[in-house]
Amino acid sequence: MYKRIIASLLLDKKKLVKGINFKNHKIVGFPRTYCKSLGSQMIDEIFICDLNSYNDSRIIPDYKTLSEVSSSTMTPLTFGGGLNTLDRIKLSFNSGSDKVYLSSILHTNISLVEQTAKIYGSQSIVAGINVEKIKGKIKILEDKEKNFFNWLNEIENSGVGEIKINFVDREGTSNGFDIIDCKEILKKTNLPIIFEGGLGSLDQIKDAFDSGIDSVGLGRMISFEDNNIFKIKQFLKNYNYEIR
Amino acid sequence: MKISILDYGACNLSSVYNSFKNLGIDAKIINSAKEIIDSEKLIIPGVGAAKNSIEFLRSQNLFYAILELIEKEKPILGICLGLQMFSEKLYEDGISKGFSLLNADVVRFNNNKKITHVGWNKIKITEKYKNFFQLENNSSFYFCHSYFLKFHEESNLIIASTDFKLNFPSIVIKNNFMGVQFHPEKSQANGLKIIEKFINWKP
Repeated sequence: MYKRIIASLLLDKKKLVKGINFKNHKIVGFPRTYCKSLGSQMIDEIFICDLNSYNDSRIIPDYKTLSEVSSSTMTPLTFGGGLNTLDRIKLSFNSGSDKVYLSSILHTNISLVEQTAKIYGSQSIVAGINVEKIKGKIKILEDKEKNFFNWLNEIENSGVGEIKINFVDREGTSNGFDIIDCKEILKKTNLPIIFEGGLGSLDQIKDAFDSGIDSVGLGRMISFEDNNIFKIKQFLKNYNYEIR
Repeated sequence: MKISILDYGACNLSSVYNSFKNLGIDAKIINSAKEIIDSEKLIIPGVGAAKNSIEFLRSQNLFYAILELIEKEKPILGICLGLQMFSEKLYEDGISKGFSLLNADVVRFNNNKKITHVGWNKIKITEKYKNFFQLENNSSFYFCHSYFLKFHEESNLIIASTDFKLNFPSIVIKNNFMGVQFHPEKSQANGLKIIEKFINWKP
């Protein structure tokens, strides 16, 4: 099994953007050409989150852009952002998504997972948990009262295929992961976990893999800095990680 | 050449459609029994849950149309669940009966733990089929599943296998049926080789 390098991209009015702590977004590129180029650099997967429908669920997710991206690359594609009904999920699959990403909706309607899994199978659902560290404790962005590890367990049992943990307060900071937290999370579940938020250097990816992490989401690092997927993969190959 | 892609209500249809389009093939997305029977080549995609999907095939009379196409010896490519359907029994959400072309059942990786095999993994391919597919040993493909095909006994229908927790079949060929557990439509250059092979395949 290879380690996974996943491009995590935000879609804002038909353009890809990236920012710090969900704010100050800068344009990174056009979805179709950008994803095509990631595909030819052998990125392992692409995640696209529609920020507009994520921030305001009345806004319809941009299926058209999703469909354009999907037709431009043969890379596994996960789509999310405001997917709060089964209809929206169906439209995502019909528009070329291979997996759907559900996060905020899980707090109000976790049964959507079961409904989706019944049709598309558990393996097609990635659950997202947005977290930040407050006074040394992992807190869930949407519900700070909720116990994080109980929620992790609840999500695992809801029938999703994998889980993405987003360290929101680290996003765009290039501070790396809190490895102790990551290890603790990995111990608590058998599902594949993708960690994202904070990776800013090749050494930090290496540290992540050393600690037993298999899959990382990269945003800022591949968007603004002098890194491309080839370079990142070659660096990791030199340390004998299983890299494709 | 009439290549059809079966729409059975689930699936990442357009991903599959686009991968053929990239090779200049305008495949036809179909959803009726008649269209299945008229197909020269059929692709059964595979993002779906077993029970729901097979029930759908039966309720729309597509199940028997596929059996008829097997009888007519038309090439069929099954992807992921599209492969698993050709087993005898599928143990996802209870038990569903498959097309029983393969002497195998579909079972979970682990009955007690939630496990998903997702990401890129290697295949070990038999010597004879390296040339056939133009693939090297250890070629990588994208997988996304929690159930796998378990043959009742050692089988020479298994063309390639993959290690994850255990060793499971990743390419199976029987007569006019070719099934892959991975997603060729999502496996970049290696995936294209499989699709290209299927397009030109004359079993």
